[in-house]
This record gives sequence, C-alpha cells and structure tokens, in this order.
Amino acid sequence: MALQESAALLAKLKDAYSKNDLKTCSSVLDQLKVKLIQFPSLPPVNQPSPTAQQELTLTREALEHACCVSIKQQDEAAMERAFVQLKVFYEDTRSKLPPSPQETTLQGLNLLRLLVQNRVAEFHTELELITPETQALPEVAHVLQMERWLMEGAYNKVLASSQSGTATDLHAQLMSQLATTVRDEIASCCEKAYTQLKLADAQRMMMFDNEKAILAYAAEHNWPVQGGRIFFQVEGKAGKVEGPPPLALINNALMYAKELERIV
Amino acid sequence: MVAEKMDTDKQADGPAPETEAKAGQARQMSPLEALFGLVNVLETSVKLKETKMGRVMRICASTRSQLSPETLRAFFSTVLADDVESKGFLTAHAEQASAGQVAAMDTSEASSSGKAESQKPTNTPEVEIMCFMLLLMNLLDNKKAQQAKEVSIKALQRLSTLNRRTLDTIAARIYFYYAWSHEQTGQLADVRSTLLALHRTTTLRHDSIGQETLLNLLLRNYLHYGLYDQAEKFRSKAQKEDVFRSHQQYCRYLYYLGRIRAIQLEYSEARDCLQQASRKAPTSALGFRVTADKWLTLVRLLLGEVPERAEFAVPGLSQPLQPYYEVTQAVRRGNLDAFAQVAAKYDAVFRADATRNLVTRLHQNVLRTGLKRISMAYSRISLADVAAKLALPSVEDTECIVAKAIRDGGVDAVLDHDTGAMASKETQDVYVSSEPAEAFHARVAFCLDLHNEAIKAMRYEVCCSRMRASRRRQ
Amino acid sequence: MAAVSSASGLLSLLSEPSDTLRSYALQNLDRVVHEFWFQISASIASVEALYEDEEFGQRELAAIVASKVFYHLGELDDALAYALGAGKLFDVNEQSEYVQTLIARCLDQYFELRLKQVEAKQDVQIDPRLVSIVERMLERCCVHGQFEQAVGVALEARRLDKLEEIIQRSTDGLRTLKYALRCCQGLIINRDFRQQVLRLLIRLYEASRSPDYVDICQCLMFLDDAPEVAKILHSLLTGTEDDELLAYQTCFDLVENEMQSFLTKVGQKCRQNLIQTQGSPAAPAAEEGGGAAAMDTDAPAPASSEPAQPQADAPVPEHVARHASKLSKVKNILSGQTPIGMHLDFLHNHADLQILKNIKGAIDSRNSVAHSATVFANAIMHSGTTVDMFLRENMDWLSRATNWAKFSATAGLGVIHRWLAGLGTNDDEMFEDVKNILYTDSAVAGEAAGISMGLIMAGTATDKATEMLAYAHDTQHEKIIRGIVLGLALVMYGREEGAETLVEQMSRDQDPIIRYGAMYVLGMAYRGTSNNGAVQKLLHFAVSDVSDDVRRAAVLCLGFVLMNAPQQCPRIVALLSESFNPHVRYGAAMAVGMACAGTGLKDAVALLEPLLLDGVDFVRQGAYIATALVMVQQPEVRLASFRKRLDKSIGNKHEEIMAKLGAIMAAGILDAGGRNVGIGLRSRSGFFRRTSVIGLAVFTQYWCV
Repeated sequence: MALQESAALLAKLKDAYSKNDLKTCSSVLDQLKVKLIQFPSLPPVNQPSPTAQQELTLTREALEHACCVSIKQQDEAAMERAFVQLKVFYEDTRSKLPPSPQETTLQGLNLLRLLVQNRVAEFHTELELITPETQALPEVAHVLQMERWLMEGAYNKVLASSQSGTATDLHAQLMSQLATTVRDEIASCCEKAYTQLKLADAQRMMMFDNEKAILAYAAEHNWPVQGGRIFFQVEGKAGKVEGPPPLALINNALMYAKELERIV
Repeated sequence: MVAEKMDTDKQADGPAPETEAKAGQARQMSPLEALFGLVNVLETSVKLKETKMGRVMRICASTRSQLSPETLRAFFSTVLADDVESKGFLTAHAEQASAGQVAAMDTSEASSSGKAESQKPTNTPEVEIMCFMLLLMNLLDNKKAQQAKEVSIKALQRLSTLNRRTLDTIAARIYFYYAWSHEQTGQLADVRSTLLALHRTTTLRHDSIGQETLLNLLLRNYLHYGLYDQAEKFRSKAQKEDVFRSHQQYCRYLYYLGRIRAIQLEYSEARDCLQQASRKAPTSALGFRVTADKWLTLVRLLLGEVPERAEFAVPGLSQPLQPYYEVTQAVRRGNLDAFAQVAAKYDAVFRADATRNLVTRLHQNVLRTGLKRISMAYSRISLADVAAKLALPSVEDTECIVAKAIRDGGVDAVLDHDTGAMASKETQDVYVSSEPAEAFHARVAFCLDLHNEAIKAMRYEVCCSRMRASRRRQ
Repeated sequence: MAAVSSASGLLSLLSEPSDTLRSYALQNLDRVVHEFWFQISASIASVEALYEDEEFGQRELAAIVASKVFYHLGELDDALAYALGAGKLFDVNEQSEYVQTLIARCLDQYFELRLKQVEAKQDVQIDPRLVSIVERMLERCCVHGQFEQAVGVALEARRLDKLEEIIQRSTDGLRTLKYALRCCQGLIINRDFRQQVLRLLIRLYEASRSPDYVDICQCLMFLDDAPEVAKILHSLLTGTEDDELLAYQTCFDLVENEMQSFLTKVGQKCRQNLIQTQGSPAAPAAEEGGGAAAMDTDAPAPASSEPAQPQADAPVPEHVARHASKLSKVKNILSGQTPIGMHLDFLHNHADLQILKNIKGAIDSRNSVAHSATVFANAIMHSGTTVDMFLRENMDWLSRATNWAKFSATAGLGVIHRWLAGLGTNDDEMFEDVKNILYTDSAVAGEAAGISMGLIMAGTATDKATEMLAYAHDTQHEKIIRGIVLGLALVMYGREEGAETLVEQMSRDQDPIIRYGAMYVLGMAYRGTSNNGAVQKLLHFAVSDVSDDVRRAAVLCLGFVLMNAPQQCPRIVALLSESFNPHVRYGAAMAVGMACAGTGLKDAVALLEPLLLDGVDFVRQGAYIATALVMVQQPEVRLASFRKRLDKSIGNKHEEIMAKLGAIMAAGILDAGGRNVGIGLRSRSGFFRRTSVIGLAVFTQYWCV
C-alpha cells in the first residue's frame, strides 16, 4: 500500500531527476514526503516491522534526492531543510541500515554548502562529527582541502578547481556561488599587498575572461588605471602613527579610579 | 576522550591544614573507625541542617584509599538499620566486590570490631546515600565499572524518592559516578535523558550544586560524542546561576566552554576560558590541568601567540605535553614539512585527545609564522625563495598566500608582482603607537577583575559570633 | 536509547509548506521535547506562529509543545499561558513534574489576580481557563478527602463561596472548621477579609449540630459583636446545667482575652436580655458593668485614672428566678471580680523580703535612680499580692523620694493593689477629662495625660488620634510630645494596616520624638504578627535614621512585632546586637527580652550574655532586664548564676548607676508576683493579651526618668 505507492513515486522522482526536470521533481517530492511520514518505522517512532528495512531505505533515497534537487534549484532554504533531515536520518539509522553509497558524497556536499555560505563555525562543528577515516575519502578530503586553501589564501587553487569541473555538476553548482566571493577576496588582498599591478596580471589573478571585465571591476573599486597598470592605494602613508588617542586614555584612567574606589 | 584523572575529584576538595592532621590521625585509626566517625559528623550536619557538607567530603576523601570491600561490608551491616531498604543490596554488592579479592584482616580491624558494637545503627537517609557513594568510590577505584553502573542506577532510584536539601552534595557526587561508570562501560549515550530530567528537577528545587554538576556532566556527554552544536545550545539555554557555588564545577565548566568556543573558531574567548580554568584549578588537579593546557596551547597557536618554552617545563606537565611542545616548535619554525611530520607522528595521541582537527587547522598558522619570520629577517626577498623556504608547491600559490597574509595584517610587507618579490616595511617604534597603552590597559583590567572576584569570593563568617562565644566558654 | 539523536530534522520539517508535515513534526516534537528543548527553543517562534495561525489544524498541539519548551527555559508564566491554550492536551491529572510545576504556578497566579481584584479593587480580568483549572484542583482535593488543603486554597483565593462548599462537603466538618479558624487567625493578614471569614465561620458553626460555643464566642469577640455573644450566653443560661457551666467557662475565656470595652458591652446586653425576659428591675448591673476591670500590669498608673473597686452585689430580689442569680454570676465573671478573687486566693506570697532589704542597704538612698529602682522592684515583686508591708515599714524612707520618684512610689502602690481601670474602655468622657489635663501644658502631667489617653483608647484607632498628633506638633515640651506619641501607639494597638497612614505621617516628621513614636506605632500595630513589611521598615529605620533614640526604638519594637515567633527574634536581631552604636545594642537586648519573655530560650540567653558584659552602662541595664524577662519562671538551677551576678552588680560600689538600676529591676522581675507570676503575653487560647502587651510597651518608657 503505502510502501508500494511510495516506491512508485520514488521511481518517478528518479526519472524526472535524470531528465533534469526540476519542476516535476519538486511536486513529486512533496507528495512523496507526505507519504513517507506515514511509515511507522521511521525515527522517532522506530516501530519495528517486517518492511522496516525497505521503508528506511526508501526514505533515505528520497531524502538524498531531495538534497540534490534543492542544490540544482539553488534554493538555500530547501537545501538547509533537506540536508538537516538527511543528516539526522543517517545518524539515527546508522545501526539499522548498511551505509548508503551516497553518504560520503552528500556529506561532502553539505560541508561545501556551509563553506560557500561562509558559515565556517558550523563547518567545523560538522567536521567534528566526521571520523578521520571518512575525512580521508576523496569527496570529503577535497572539500577540506578547499577550506584550507581558502584559509591560507591560495585562491587561485580554489578557482582552478572550480573551473576544472571536478566531481559532479552539483559541485559546480555550489562552486559558482563561491567564485564571486573568492574574487572579492582576491581583490581586497591585491589592494593591500600591491602598490601597482599590470592589467594582464590582474586579469589573470582575478580570473576574468577579458580586459573589459577587469577594467569595469577596477572602476567599481575606484582604482586608478594608468598606462596598463592599476594603482592601488597603499596604506604605507601611515608615516606618522599617532599616539594613543587622548580620549581613550582619559576613559581608561577614569575607569581605573572608579574600580579602585568602588566597594564591591 | 581523555579521561580526567579521578584524583581531581578527591584532591580537588583541597584539604585544609586541620584535616591534614586528621588524615594523619586517620592513618592510625582503622578505616572502620574513620567511617564511624564520618557517620557521626554526617548526622550532626543533618541535624543542623547544613547543606555544604564540606567536612564530610574531606573525611571521605582522606579515607578513600584505605577502603576495601570487606571494610565496607562490615560498615554497612553495622551502621545501617535493618529497615533501611537498600541495606541488603549494598551488603550484597560489597560482598560481591570483595569476593574477587583476598580479604586482608589486620589486627587493627579485629580491635575495631569492639568499636563496631558501640556504633548504633541508623536509618537516616543521608547515611544510606553516603554508603552508596562510598561503595561507588571503591568500585570505581578498583576498576569495576560494570558493577558500579548497577549500583549507581539503584542509587538514583533511591534518590528519586527523596527530596532533602541536606542530600544535595552527596547526590551530586552520585550523579557524577553514575555518568562516569557509564562512560567507562561505553554507554554514555544512554544516560543523557536521565541527566536532562535530573537537571530539570534540580533547577526546580534550587539545588545549585546538583544543577552545576549535571550541567557539566551533560556538556561532557555531548562533547564526548562531538555534538558541539547541541552542547552549545544546551549551555546557552540552560538555567544556571551567575556565580557558580562550587569552585571545581566552575573550572570544569570553563574548560568545556573553552573547548566549544575553540571549535567554533572563537579563539580569544576560548583562550580566556581555558586560561582561567587552568589557573583556577587546584594545584593537585594535575590531570585536569594537563588537559586544559593541551587545548590552551593549541588555541594560543591558532591565535598567533607562541607559548614560551618555560611553560612546558613545569614538572608533571612536561611529559604529557610533549607532543604539543613539538607542535609548538614546528609552528615557531614555520616549516610545513616539520609540521606535517609532527602531526603524523602523534596522530594517535591527537585523536585520543580529540584535538586532531585543531591541529589540522594549524597548517595555516605554520605558514603565517614562517612568513613573519621571513619578512622580519629580509628586507626584500624573491617569492621563489619564499616558496622554497616554506616548502610550498608553486610561486603563484605563494604569491596569493602572502597577499592574504598581508591583508590580514599578519605580515607587514608589500608585494611587487613584476619582479616577483616581497619587500618588508620599516618597523616602527612601537612606543609611538598606542600599543603599549593597550597592552598596559589589558593587564590593568585583568588585575582589577581579579581583585573584584577575590573580594566577592570572601564570604562573611556566619557563625563567627557563635564561635567566639564557644571559645570564650572554653 | 533516545529516539532521535537530534531534533533538528523535525525542526526543519516545521518550515515545510505542507500542513501534514508540520503536524507530523509537532507530534514528534512533543514526544522528544524533554530531551531537545534547547534545540527547539531556537525555533520557538515558528511553533508560536503555528499556534497563532487560525487555520492550522493542530493549534493545541503547537501550544502544548511551546508550553513545555518555555517550562524548560524557566519562563513559567509563558508556559502557563500556552498550557491554558492547549486545552484538553494539558492533563492536570498527570503526575509529571511539568504538570505539577505548572499547576503550582497556576494557583499562584490565580491568588495574585484575586488579591488584586478583591483587595486593591482593581478591575482585573481573570482568564476563565485559569479559574477552571483551580476549581478542578479543588474538586480533586475534596474527592481525595484532603479538605484542609482545599480550605487553604480557598482562603488564599479569597473565595468564600468555595470555602463554604468545602466545609459543608467535608466528612469531619468540625475539624475542618477549626482548621479554617486557625488559618484565619494565624495566616490572613488582611483584616477585612479576616472578619468576613469569621462571620462565615460563625454561621457555619451555628448551623452544625454541636456548635463549639467557646470558639464561636472567640470569633465574635474579634468581630466586636457584643449582642450576639449576649444572645448566646442567654440561650446557654436558659439551657441545661451543662450549658450553664459552659456559659461560665465561656465568660472566663472572654475575660482572659481582656478586651474591656467589649466585655462591658456584653455585660450591658446581658442585663438588657434579663430585663426583657424577666421584666424585673435588674440588679445593679449597670455600675458593675461600667468600668470595672482588672488586669495585671507593671506600668505606672496614669495619675488621673479612676480607681475602681469591685462592688458588692446588691441584694437580689427574691422573686427573681434562678436566672437572675445565674446572670449575676456571669456579671461577676465578666467584670473580672471572680478571677481576681481566685487569683488572690491562689497566690501565696513567696517574695523574699530579704532581697529587698539587701538592696535597700546596698544602695545610697540619696541616689534617686537607685531609689526608684528599688521601689519598682518592690512593686513588681508584690504586684497583685496586696502585700505592701515593705512600703509601710519604710514609709519615711520613701518620703525622701523626690518628684518623679514620688510619683512612681504612688504608682507602685497602685500596682500592688491592682489598680488601673479605664484601660481600653474607650470612654469618651474620660477621654475629654484627660484631654483637658493635657491642654494645661504642664510637662509631667501632660506626659501622663498623653499616655493615659492612649490607654483609654487603646486599640480603637479613633480619629481623636489626629487631634493628639496635632497637639504633639504644637507643644514645646518634649515630655508631652513623648507622652502623646506613646499614647498614639497604644491607640493603634493591633490595627495593622489601619495604622499605615499614621505611621507614614509620623515617620516622615522632622521631630525625632515623633519618629520615635512612629516606631512604637509600628510595633504596637503589628504586634505579634511578624509582618514582613513592618519588620523591613523597622530594620530600615534601625540602621538609617540619624537619631539614636529612633534607632533604639526601632530595634526595640522589632521585639513587639516578632512576639509570636520568639525563636526568630534572636536571629534577626543578632547582627544588631553587635552594632557599634550602644543605643542599637540596648534596643536589641530589650527586643529579645520582650519577644522571648517567659520562654527561657537558649538562643535568647546566649545573645544577651555578651551584652551583660558590655562596656556601656545602659546596655548592661537593658541586658539585665531582658535576661530577667526571658528567665522569669525558669527553674532555679538556671537562675542561680544569673542571680549571683545581679547581687554582685547591686553590691558593687563602682558599678555605674544605670547598670545598677537594671540589676535591681531585673531582681524584681525575677521574683515577680511573689514568684508565682510569669509574664504571659498570650492567653490560653493563643491570642495576645492586650493589657500585657501594652503594659510592656509602657514599661519600656521607664527610661524617661
């Protein structure tokens, strides 16, 4: 009954997904979800039943597809929901089901998602839950490497990997958002680090396709361009470093006096 | 998960000078007599409705090492009145525990049997619960975790029927042993819901020592399984007092909080918490300080401070902290290869300490430190050389990395792309800037805080007039 | 094993668009809420939104989840609000901690709202669901036979209708009634409500089969309802012999509580009833009824009081039936004549004259302070015994006394013969007489007049108080001001909140003497209630007022307020007894002495011991007197060392005179009433004796020599 209907729906979903028909995917998903919650063997009810294994496997597949669909749709809220549910599901059914083949990929995607959205603290919190063995697996290791590059500043590597078409198109989807952020980072680094830069070099570093793009970018950031070079405002003009601002000093002194005289 | 040594518990109560003498006496007294004395002290405390039970705990701590299951069995059968419901349970378990051991009856035991008759059996609930606690202490000291687990479950059942404030301190200890025995048998996840329910009850009853203990136990539970997110949510929403009543619980709390913050990349806050935890811990709590220091070192490295060598040379700490010392050295040198070597060499240690991920994060700091040293040493250096020194794969990467370092303010230099070189800026007289004032301010603020806390911690002696009167009478 | 490892999955379901999914999420959240409340609390807004959403099918489910989360967060009021919104899902019979805590909170909230409604007369809307829960709880109590709990709840909720219902339903109605009466007297602070409850209880008492007339009469006495009492007495007297005895017993009990004006009125009413039933000229009940009262006090009598002598019975006409004789017996009892007579018969004079002789020999007779002290001691020792041998023998010695000492000697005489009428009779005529004396504006007389006005109007809180206060502002003599304010205090005896306005006025005054009086008003008004507000105010003045007198009075009056809980007093006053200000220490000693009078509490004695060795003389004086008050009627064993100390102090030439005064008076108190009498602040039924309390208050003024 419910099981068979759900199985049918799942098949339909997979079909639509492979055809990249996102709209059908979402509508089928909605129906599927409503059906799924009627299974008694799902957590937190956890009722044992003969069809438990099938139900759980079915649910898991459905949730995995939900994640993928949401990535394709670039729907952040949906992504959030889908991944959270999937993660909890993995955790709860770890003892009951054999591990899913998609698990590491999806974990990797989850981490990537967090990274792209600049939620680094949550990224690391998630990381704590992943064992070192899993971390060594390529899907996850790749994301970890990216995080490291981002931290270090090896942006070129990041952009390179995004454009080389690694992993799946899902990765590519997420990475496209990354590109813009990374570019901004590179730009601000260049600003501080260089006094001047040849246009060609700048274009290469910031991964622009043509000169016009880089010129437009420079104009946005108010960098004067002269003779094929971009001049950055170097902050080395700080010849005179002022002493401690007087107001702050006065405030501090007053605070010391108050604390010393106060009866706690 | 590193096991904090149980010694922290027993010695963390900080024996006052008077109990040193008492402990000395206890060594001459047989353990059984010491236990009888303990019962008397406990009953007096209950009559006076004291809730702190400081003396009781100190006596327990000092007699702990001399207890044997045989002694306990004799103690239980004498001291507990027959209508105490757990008496049978306790004596049975004590016998079970002593069955595996050779019972050594020395002469002092025989002589104290005379004393045993003069001890009246009592059915005060506090004494009963204290017996549970003594049994648990003994079982855990002798590594009988499974049995301890059963005993602790029964103890909790018994506690749930009682609601007396005088029981609070002892009950808090029992919660601790309950969680600890489960941790030893690898079933920590089971106790989570019980601990949560207990936490709710203690909050409702304003049992602050129980509340604090359970908060820490729950945090430990979550962190054991790496559930940092839940731990943080719980910690932020749980009701807790502004000032912790128990010093030891406060240290533990700071340690757990520091860990959570470290994982969440809030390094300055983490450093403050861990530093405070390490400083406030009693000097005898060696295991605790070692663990806290491990995390503290890593956090400081992540912040860019390099701990001094002298800090690792403290006796007692140097051996366990050896891996961390080597990590510090690698970071200081700024050499990626060395760092990778150290990380691989002590991988197992780091895994056991749950600090592996933090160590991985240090990769970036190694680079930073290396860059700093280079920029301070050279006024101008080509990027190719930099790449060689830092063992980086390519010049391009190096350029980007250096650019980011400059932007983050870690390195004071300028890049010249055309020549592919890095030129350091002139170092300026630091006294011209406001840095000294700020550093000074930080130190002053710390001292003032310390002063305020010390004053707040002084408690007004409630019974000083009573003491004066009693002294006068004597 | 927990069902889920984290509730985040379920929480994310909450933001799904489909309703089914959201209901599913809520159901499961409800199951795991006790383990993951902290996670759910982050998304509590969405749960609340679901509750607010009119179209959502499972609003109650959302409410119950929200309620549980708030409970865990410690926000009980919000939790309660949502629990009420959850309707049937909130099961009051569940035994979980959650439900119990919320029900307790529900009751508390209901009480607060009712209080505001009834007493502050604010128009407050009480949620009908709240009311229904409270009533359900009451129902459950009655069903389980826990009537006393139900009575408590009804009283706190100010629901007289419920109270009546409970008492009628209870299986042991009489016991429940008694419990209600005890609660009423002991626990209800608000006077108005107390009187309402008393009326209700009386009605119920009378409706019950075997009414406890003694209790009923007590109630009526507090309600000041003389006609009812007379009616009851009448019906009892016309009944069986047992009933007659019961009537007499009731009269004795009434006299114990010493509410003079009330007794007078009862007497009058009885006479009226007699006239009505018998139609015969009554016995000279009128004169007897008026103004004859007897009491035990150790205060100097106001100079202008009327001496009252127990009058002999007029011969009863023959043809009046037994009823008249019964009635006259009642008369005698009510007038206090019979009790006095019995007291006199009973008391055997043990007072040791030797002590007095020693004292007299030890002091220098020219020293008026010591002289007066001796006189006081004698007075107290022989009070009520009519043994004035000492005085007669030493008449010439007495005559050497000057001024105030003369006054006190005469007063002592009065005390010995148990004088002092007019206390609390609320007689307007007397009041006017005394007031005229007041207006003569002579210092000593004025002071006495002030105090006597207070004594006459004791406990009535009349408007004449404002007149007195006005005069206090006008006059220049400190003595008169002091007398008046003390009188005011006596007027406000036992009025509790009724005295609030006067206290406010007086305590803000510039004149320290009036503030001093304000302290006494507080003490007298709240005597024996341990009212927290009063204690707080007194403590506030004790530490923050500028005048030493006021601070002393504040601490002293703490003793009055804490009279019903003598064990509390030492603890509260302990810190004050170590104050650097000697006045405060003195006040602390006296407070303890009065609150613990006659109890012999170890704590009290322990607190007073260091004060006995205090450096300042009047502190020692206070300590002596207080210790004597506490230790009166204690076995000789405990007293021995204290007596020795007193003797030493009296005999010591170098002892300062103030301390000696204290020692002498203490000796007197210890031997009070020929060693037979104790200081009884309470009557047998536990109510405070007005005369004793007032007596103690005026006694503390001995300071004003």
